Amino acid sequence: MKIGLEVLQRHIDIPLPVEELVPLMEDIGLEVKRVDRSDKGIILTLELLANRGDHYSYAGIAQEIHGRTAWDLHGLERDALTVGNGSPLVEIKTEKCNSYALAEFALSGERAALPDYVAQTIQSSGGNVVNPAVDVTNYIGFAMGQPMHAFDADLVSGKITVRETVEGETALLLFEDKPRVLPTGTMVIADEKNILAVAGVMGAQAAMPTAETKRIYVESAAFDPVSVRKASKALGIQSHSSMRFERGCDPGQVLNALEIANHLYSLIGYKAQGSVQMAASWEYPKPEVKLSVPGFNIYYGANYSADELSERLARYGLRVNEQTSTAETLMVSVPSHRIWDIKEEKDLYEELGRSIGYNEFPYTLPEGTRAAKLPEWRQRKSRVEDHLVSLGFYEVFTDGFYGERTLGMLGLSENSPLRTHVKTANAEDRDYSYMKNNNLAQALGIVATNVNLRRPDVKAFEWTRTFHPNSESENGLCDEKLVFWMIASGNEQDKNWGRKDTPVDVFYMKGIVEQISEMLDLKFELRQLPDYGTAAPVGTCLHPGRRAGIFMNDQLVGVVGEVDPRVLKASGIKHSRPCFVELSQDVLHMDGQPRKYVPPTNILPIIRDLCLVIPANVAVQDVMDVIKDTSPLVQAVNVTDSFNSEATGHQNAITFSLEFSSRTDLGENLTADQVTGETEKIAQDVIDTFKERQQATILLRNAMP
Amino acid sequence: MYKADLMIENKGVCMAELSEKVQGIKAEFQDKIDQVSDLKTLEELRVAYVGKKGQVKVLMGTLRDIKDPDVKRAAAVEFNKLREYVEGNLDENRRRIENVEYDRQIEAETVDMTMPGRTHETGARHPLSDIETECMEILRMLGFEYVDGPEIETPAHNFDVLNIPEYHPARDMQDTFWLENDLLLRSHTTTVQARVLESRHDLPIKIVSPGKVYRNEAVDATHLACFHQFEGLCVDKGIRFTDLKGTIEHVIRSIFGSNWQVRFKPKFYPYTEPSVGMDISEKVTSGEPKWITIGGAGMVHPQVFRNLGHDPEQVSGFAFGMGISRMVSMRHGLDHIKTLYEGDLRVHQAVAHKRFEM
Repeated sequence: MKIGLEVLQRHIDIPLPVEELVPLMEDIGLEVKRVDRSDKGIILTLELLANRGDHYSYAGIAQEIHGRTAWDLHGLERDALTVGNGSPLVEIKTEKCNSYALAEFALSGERAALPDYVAQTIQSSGGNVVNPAVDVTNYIGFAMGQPMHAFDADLVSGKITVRETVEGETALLLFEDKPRVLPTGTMVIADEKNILAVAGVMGAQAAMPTAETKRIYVESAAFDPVSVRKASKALGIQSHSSMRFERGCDPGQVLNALEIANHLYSLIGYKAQGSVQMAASWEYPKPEVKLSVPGFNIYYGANYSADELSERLARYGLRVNEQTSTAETLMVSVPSHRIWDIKEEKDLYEELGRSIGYNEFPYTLPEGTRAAKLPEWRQRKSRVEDHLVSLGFYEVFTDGFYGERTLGMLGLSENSPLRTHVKTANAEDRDYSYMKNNNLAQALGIVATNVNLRRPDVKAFEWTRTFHPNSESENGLCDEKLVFWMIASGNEQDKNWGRKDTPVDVFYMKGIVEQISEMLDLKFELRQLPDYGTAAPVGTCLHPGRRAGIFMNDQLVGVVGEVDPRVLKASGIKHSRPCFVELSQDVLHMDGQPRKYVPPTNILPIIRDLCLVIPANVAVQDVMDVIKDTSPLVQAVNVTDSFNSEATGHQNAITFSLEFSSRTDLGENLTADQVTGETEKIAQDVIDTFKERQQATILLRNAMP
Repeated sequence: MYKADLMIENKGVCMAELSEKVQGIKAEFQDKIDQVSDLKTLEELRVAYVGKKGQVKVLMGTLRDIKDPDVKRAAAVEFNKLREYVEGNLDENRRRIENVEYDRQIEAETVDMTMPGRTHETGARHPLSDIETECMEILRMLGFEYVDGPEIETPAHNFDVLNIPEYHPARDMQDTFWLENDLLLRSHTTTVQARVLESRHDLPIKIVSPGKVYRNEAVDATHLACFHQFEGLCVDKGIRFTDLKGTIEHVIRSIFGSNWQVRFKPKFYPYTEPSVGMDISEKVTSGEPKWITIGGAGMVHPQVFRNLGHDPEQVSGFAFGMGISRMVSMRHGLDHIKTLYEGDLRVHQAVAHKRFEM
């Protein structure tokens, strides 16, 4: 809302320059977004509190400033009117109209101009001067916050009815060039032929007063806030009037506004005709709220007396009942302009807090403050993050939803399990159509973004969640799964002169998963699963020969793998083979396995290499297990090399490094011959075991031709 | 001439022969060592002269054949001098050759230290996570625990119990994404507070609830449809407005320093009363401080307590939302926080590994 400083000064004495007024206004909840200076004076653009309809006027703003400063207020001039019995001209046919008063004014002398401050008030607040009959009502709306409407009485056909629309009714509203259908049930003001206004929202062109209008009906009403808001939303029209009514207008001002209008119309040659017709009169609630003075002082750490608080409340128009109040308890009557937001004691605390200023109160901490325990899962999460950061990974944030464009990165088939989504119903942007059921699409988006920015080495991770339709879920729509994902693409290490590039591959990612497993004190098991079910549908987008399920206690908790070449093609990413991991955050909460400290020994190990040619149907992990089971002297088995060439018959030749303890359980030192003999025995056991178990032929590399 | 030589000369020819032999060895050694330029040859020379079977050692072995004690003593002195001479020369030349070899090595190994160092660049947590974690740690020391909640919510938890009835203008403050089944995407993490108040009745309740929220707004340079919020709630018997002020001030000073101050301005949030906006600024000794809005807070509205099964006559509390995006902007000098949601890792890199000002 815009207000002119000069106009405001007609409502309250302001003994400060604008530079000092603005911070004061902000300190009482009247946020000043802009200060503009022009030949029309100083205009302040305010952001008003959403619950304070009374702020939508100069008088309301003046009252709020008065509540802090007690600067003198000035009321508007008015000429009294009488209220007649009955309302022959108006009929109320809806319960949504709380109060409705109509006064008639007729030209009875020479037309004259309105005082300059009327136009100044309207224009300072962004309104337009139309004609004197209309300007009076608009002025009162801006000045005192009571929306009013004027009709050309000679254009009104028969009785005025306040009613709700029936299906298909139309109205030609102000500032529009063709009639529009009004929603059924919209509260309107109508005569016997036309709809004259949508109540509290916008007038219609029928019966609109002009400069030549001789007889005017002026309406002053209190409409139901919800009804006005529904109409305003349905029509897409937000007027000063609707904003005021939506926040609850002042039922005590319905007649006052007509008396101010009476004064202004008299200045321009119109005279009130007869009495005001009060078609609906609202017996609005007049609450009395109890305020505990000691309670207030404890709440704010203050020491105010009942008299001091009473005086401050009076500045807002809140009267303390002296008969029923004591030094410890104040009984406070709520005025009509505050019935919408002052209902209980805390509302009065708020008024007084604003009056005194929140910055005047002391600072304390809640009594009995003690630190909370850092949960184990957060420590584990932190360890994982530290490790990833040390490896060069950046944490990113992605949206909880995406659109077809992002999903297209995956090149999904029509029957892909990733085609099933929870959908947003009213997204302004089609990129927010689906709640995400996987993170790979966005992860590839990040790779593509960075590759396009000539930053091909991408390492990113996120803690997030995915959404999976499930009518059996708690909310009847979907399961929310807390997940962690990471993607790596390009080189493992930063580019350094004199160093060879080492492209990221699936074993790099697998290694990180294994390290995460260790950090969580969990023993993940990675199983190569060529055919994925629906347990982890994102697995279908990983290379069928280079992906594994991550299992914990036989439960699938994640996937790791290289992105499927087809997916990569659909994503448009070239010259890179990104690898991806998705892991359930459940692992942060799983019980860790106890671990035992094994002190380092002074007995140095003896190392022997064993190179075996292993056919494709034998898992290297299984071979390692057999090696360990075969000899109690083997302390550790590591893979030190892998190659595949014509010389190996295009099979994988794997070099295992066997670490023997140099001393037996009996305390005897092993000789080199004994270790060599043990290695030969292990090799033979492996060959025999897999021949028997899988009919697989494992060969000693040095035994190959 | 040495005194010992004179004495031996007086004793007869035997000593003279020995002296001649010593001089011969000495001269020959000197010739050879003058030509040595590497440690290997020097070592060969050492073995040849003072090694177990070296000339000096052999000569010293002849002492036992000398019967005359005076001659024997004089010869021993002569031989020792020879040994000392040889060993001294060897040591001196070893040092000389080592120095030469060291100089050669250094010259050969000298590099251009202006070449860039080889690095392994670390990554970084998201700057928002960093601030979130800091705030959580500070608040944890005050007894606040982390609580999470669903992002897909009911209108009841997002609006109704929080004192935002349908058709209230306050709903305009948060444009909502709606889903099927009359569900929605939470527009604020206050939903977590609602769920906690609904399910917990043991006091005190002290929680923080950071997380993603969704607003169905047109995205521009300063608005996002999905962004992070960080909220906290403290409920107990006798919680005061001053506790809210003290807690917020504690967090701000812990993060930014004790020379920072907080001011509170009236605001409206349907679920708190009184509601306040929080601005912070560095204290200045002259001129006006530059205030930056950092979040909103307030005392839990009595109606919210009633809606969630608590008696506002018995309990009170405060809730707050910290503008962590604003804090990140302040800490890192980022103009548009939106860039941190776009996956451009150059931005993350630039934040994490800031350059020195030139």
